[in-house]
Amino acid sequence: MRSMTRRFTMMLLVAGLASWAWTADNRNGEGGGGGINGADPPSAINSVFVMNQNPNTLVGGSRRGPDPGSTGPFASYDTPQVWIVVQYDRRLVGNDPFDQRVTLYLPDGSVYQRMITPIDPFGLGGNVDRSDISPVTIGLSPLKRNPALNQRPQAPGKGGKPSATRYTAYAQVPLPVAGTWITQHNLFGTWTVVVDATRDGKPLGQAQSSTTFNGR
Amino acid sequence: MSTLSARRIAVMVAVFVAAMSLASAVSDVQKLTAASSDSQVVIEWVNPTIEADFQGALVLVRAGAPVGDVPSTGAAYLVGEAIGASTVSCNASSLVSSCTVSGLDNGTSYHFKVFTHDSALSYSSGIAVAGLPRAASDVKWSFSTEASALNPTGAVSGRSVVAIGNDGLLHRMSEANGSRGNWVPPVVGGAVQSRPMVGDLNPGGAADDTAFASAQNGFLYRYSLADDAALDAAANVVSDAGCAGGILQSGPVIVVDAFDGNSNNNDNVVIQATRCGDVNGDGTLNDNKIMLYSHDLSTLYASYAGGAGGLGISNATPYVLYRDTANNVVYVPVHDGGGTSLLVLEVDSTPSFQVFSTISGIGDIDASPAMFRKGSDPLMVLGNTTGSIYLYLALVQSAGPGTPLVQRDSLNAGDGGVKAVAASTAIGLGGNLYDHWVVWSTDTKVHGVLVPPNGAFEISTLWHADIASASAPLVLRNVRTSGDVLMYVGGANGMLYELNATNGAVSRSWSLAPGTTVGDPTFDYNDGIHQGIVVGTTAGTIHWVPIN
Repeated sequence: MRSMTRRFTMMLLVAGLASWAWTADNRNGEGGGGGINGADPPSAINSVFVMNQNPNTLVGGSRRGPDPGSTGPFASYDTPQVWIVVQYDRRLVGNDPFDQRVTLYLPDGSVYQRMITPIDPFGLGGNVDRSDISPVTIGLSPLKRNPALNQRPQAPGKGGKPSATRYTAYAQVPLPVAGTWITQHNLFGTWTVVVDATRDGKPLGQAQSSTTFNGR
Repeated sequence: MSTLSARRIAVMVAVFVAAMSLASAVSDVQKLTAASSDSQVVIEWVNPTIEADFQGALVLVRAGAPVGDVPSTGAAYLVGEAIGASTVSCNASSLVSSCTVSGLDNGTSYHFKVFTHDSALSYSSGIAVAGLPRAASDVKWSFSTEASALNPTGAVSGRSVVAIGNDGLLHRMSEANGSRGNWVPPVVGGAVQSRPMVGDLNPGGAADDTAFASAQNGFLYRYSLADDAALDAAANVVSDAGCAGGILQSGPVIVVDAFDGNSNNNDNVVIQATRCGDVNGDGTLNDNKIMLYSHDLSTLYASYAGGAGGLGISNATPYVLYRDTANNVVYVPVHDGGGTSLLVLEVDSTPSFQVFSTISGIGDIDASPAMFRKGSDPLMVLGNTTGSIYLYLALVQSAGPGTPLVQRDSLNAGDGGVKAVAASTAIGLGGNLYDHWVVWSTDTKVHGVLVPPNGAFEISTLWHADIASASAPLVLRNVRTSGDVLMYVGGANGMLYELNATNGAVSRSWSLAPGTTVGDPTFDYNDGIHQGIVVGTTAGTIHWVPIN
């Protein structure tokens, strides 16, 4: 009975913390974009987009920002790789590491690839042993800040949401293109990119976008 | 009590119930696969290991449509019991990780969903997989993976088929029915788009079945193919090559008895070429290396970075030519970022590389070379990304060590880059004279041309067949009738085609997965009885198709 009482007390505490966390997430009223559905907390992911420049090379504060053409469509044979860039709202991601999962859907609807990346919001780096995604030690990917990314033109209806630049950080995943199955097997057309973030199995956010690879 | 207070209490209760639910649910199964064969589907998975209260798994099946039903919390179910439009196929204990469903209708898609549960019969959200049983004469078995699988598979003679694709799991399937049995597919850590190199590293002794796989995360992995699925070793190739952040697109090659010819396996080596970015910032992708590792990946014996112009990226797996009385030779196709299109390297007894030949000026090569023998002279076929096919004497240098191979012929079919090339074995004409057929694929066609005894292309025999997004071709002889020369190629419409390699006529076709793209075929004759083509699709399903 004592054990049960303690468990019950813990459950109430968990419930109370969950309630508090919900309040904290919404206290500034700037979450924007809504959650995965109406009943969920706001999504920590602002947007996901694809570019053929390494986002790390973009100069923050540049007036020009990235080449608008870099959002695609991409000439597959001339594009060694693209970067899938996921923008987060730093106010909503919390402090502890979480998992980012990027799923790429082909024009025929098949899953081309799922890429799971452990993310460290603090950007301190470090290595983790994650036997579920790699047999060798892998590095935590940091969240980075780069105002130049916020200057890129946002495609309408691509799952993005407005957010103040100062709260935005991003993570990137490279995708090789030329010389891969994309050109070897003509996997051209419009792809769907779905990204979701989870911590301890619970969703932090989700976003969806698309990009086009053509046969040039 | 005010309405506001009542609502707050209601919310707290709801949150509490949700927290209770979260606390009691167990995780879903992992690595779920379906092996479909004649009237049967075998579902296999890995149970969650960290939850103390995991009690088992419930498998639901529905014909023709995804399972949309869910088991009710607290409810126990019997096999055969209906839940909405679905039926319980298996009620597995925590010690069980498979479910065999028999008596199914061939040609009907069956959708499965596996739910784990705890002692309170609280069920997980479930993981889905689908199977398609077919008559063994059509497709002996098919095996589902979780992402596209377009590369050719490997095979361990008489025992198993080995596949790995974009799902990054090393799959080992039974040749009999495609099930994985005791094999728990290990995570490789990245997409693998080249053929896994598998085989027995200790022929004649105790079996040492081993797989090597090159992943896009830059690592080269070595796995034991024994049931424990152990990682033997891994080499961070792109880091060793000084280009962290690069990838491995081409596959590894294993050279057995590479430099001393003894019967031990200490002289087995692994060769891997890199695909690095612009490391030195000169605007050219010419910072690559060809790496020479010990077979256990513990020692980097040597590397080669090309000539003065560096070395371009590697997208296509090299080819090994064994020689009895001289060093073995490796043909490495690359992009011409470093001014070279093909490097031919000897592996000497140091062990290290010696440059046997370099071929320049023919552009980027994204297709592995094909080789055949005219009498004592091996000939090599090479295709570039602008559509030209070249024929070389594979071991004859034009002017001594390091100079280009002697080119015998070339042609351009004029319809885009060469994706892959293949060649038939020798077709005897009598009097020690032989024909060979060379075939290759481009974006929209497959082509073939005869190489008669004079060792040059016979242009009058050039044919083509329209096959959109043709895969790498595979040429076989004597499949159904003595003397036949057949080729197998996948297409963009879910079809696998069999063509007469002498004229391009389609003789048979199989609709494997409508709406998907079919990948590169592999020939499997390992049981010595059944000849089959093993081929994957963008949907991630691998099919074993009988051809005799």
